[in-house]
Amino acid sequence: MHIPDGFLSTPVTLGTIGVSVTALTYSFKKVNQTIKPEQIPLMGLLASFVFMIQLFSFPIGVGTSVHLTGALLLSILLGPRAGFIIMAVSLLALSLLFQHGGIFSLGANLLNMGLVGCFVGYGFYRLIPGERWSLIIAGVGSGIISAILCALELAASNMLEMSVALKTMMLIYGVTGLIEGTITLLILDFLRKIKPELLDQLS
Amino acid sequence: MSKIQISNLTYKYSDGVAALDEVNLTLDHGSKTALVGPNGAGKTSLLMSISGLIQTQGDIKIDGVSISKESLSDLRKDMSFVFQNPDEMLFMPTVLEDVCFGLDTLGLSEAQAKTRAREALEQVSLGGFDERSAHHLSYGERRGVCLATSIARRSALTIFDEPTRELDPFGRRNFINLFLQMAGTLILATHDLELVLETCEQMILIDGGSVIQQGDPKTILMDQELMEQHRLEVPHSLTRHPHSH
Amino acid sequence: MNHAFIDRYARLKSPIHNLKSSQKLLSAFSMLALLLLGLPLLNFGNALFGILLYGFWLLMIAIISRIPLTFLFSRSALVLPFSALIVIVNFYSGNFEFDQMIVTLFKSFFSVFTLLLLTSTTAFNDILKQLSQWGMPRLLITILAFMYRYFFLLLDEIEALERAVQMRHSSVTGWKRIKVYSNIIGVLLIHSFERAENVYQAMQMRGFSGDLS
Repeated sequence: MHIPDGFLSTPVTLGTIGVSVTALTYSFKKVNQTIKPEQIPLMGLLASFVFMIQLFSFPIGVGTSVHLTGALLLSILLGPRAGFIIMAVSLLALSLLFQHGGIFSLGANLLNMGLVGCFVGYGFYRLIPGERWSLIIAGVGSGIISAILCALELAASNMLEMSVALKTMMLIYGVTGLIEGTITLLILDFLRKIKPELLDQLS
Repeated sequence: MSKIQISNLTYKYSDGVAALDEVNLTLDHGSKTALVGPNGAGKTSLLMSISGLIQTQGDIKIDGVSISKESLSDLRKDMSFVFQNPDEMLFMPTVLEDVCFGLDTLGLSEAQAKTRAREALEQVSLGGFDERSAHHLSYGERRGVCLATSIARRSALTIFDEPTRELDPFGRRNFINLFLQMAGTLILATHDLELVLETCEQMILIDGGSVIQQGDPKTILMDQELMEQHRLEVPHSLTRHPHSH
Repeated sequence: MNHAFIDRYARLKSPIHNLKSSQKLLSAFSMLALLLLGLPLLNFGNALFGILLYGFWLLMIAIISRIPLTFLFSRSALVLPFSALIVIVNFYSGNFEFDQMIVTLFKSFFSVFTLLLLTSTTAFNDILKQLSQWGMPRLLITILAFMYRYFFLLLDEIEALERAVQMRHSSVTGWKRIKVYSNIIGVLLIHSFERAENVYQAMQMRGFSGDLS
């Protein structure tokens, strides 16, 4: 979820901003050094793509919808560092333009959705054999870890009680993560069927 | 005013199909040439070869200089390519920045670039559109900005890919007027056969990756058998004058 | 298609709009910092005084800026359901006192309101220009600019694709629906890649060699 402004205490706000900014600086330095000119418009276009994915909720029928981040897909297509940068850019714009998530809570949101989604998700993806399972576990795994962090942040800000928050969030994020992993898998399958050169080009 | 010499140009897709097959062509200084052919004929591949955007076999010389990795950036300083899709050419936040993009590589200072850009925008009747954003403009206006980007470059060679597609008659007429006034060697790929008759002194009919004919547009377009062979039609204005040559 | 809704009010004229981007950005940022991190400073002894003072200040700016108040209020209100949920949960657990409930609700509302004032008086591209002047790396600015520029195109495309889906798959639910939407996303992704390639070609033709400055 995109935590709005006003729900995180000062220490939590500053702490999460610190972590995210550090990760962003590190990722940026690496990407800036190695990026090829033709990848620059690509990062921009993928940023608009992810921005749109995050803006809309995904209807899955029966009146429910989930929110996807696209972090896992980005990491697989461009690598976790570039993916993380795109997530940062997207979250900033979502906050400014659509008030989806706050400005001071960007640190926490980037940490929960960007850092975890990209690096932890990608880690699961690479470590677990077999694409099908690795994606699903990456989705669920990063979803649950995001939930834990989110619950911790809100609890530390005295907004929610840890036990209650933790259980509900883990369930919600776990399911959302499952769907994100599944959809990522479906999209990669689709790409492979329709335009396989694309995936070769990227790796 | 570029002279283009193409020898044995071949371009194959990854599956082996030849988009261009041993094409040999010469386009003189200052010529206005139309490139016509059915869908999939190789028009776009030819244009992209001349711009150095795809790697081909064979040789293309622009004013005697062969296209190569080393010569390309210099050659491009005297080239302009107006794409079919304006959204692929207009990627900057404002119209002025779009028209100015790349003018610095031509040796212009920022101020000079802005002046030229503004003049170009005036020419396409978009004066004052400096601070507008491309995504807020109508299709015709976006087309106009694309034209302005090539006008501002004052290139010796300008390439147009389907410049009148989806334009309303007024926009199309504006394009024709501008085209007729433009200096330099001009190449125009199009399905708009009436446009060819109005603007170009020579025409290249291409199909299946090969040049079928090169010559006077009217002569080629009046050849009904030839037209039908290549999924084209004799333009309406020519069918009403069966006795003129 | 005309999608002016994001920057909808950024082109109005008012004393606030006419301020420099740097002034608007810095004010918004420091106001948010005050609201979120330093509210006690405004309290002068009374727990609710600070938040009401802030709200009053916000309202003044809003009125001077000539941005429709209904827009500002209704968009800011979107955060209230979440805020109310948190407040109610804490109320029942005895964690929040009355003051804290009010402050939480208002804080969330006012922070969105503050941000809205910023983005409704400053065009996104102007914000980017200012961030660039303040030293944000060129690559990030470029990504943000491209993202903004092509977002509208994607919106049009997704609308068109959704319409097509509705015509052919309107009654599909559950797993099938996920598959259909994954295909839509896949198509949009491919379009994004192809567009990126073509944009790069257009940049190359105009002399771009990778140097963003």
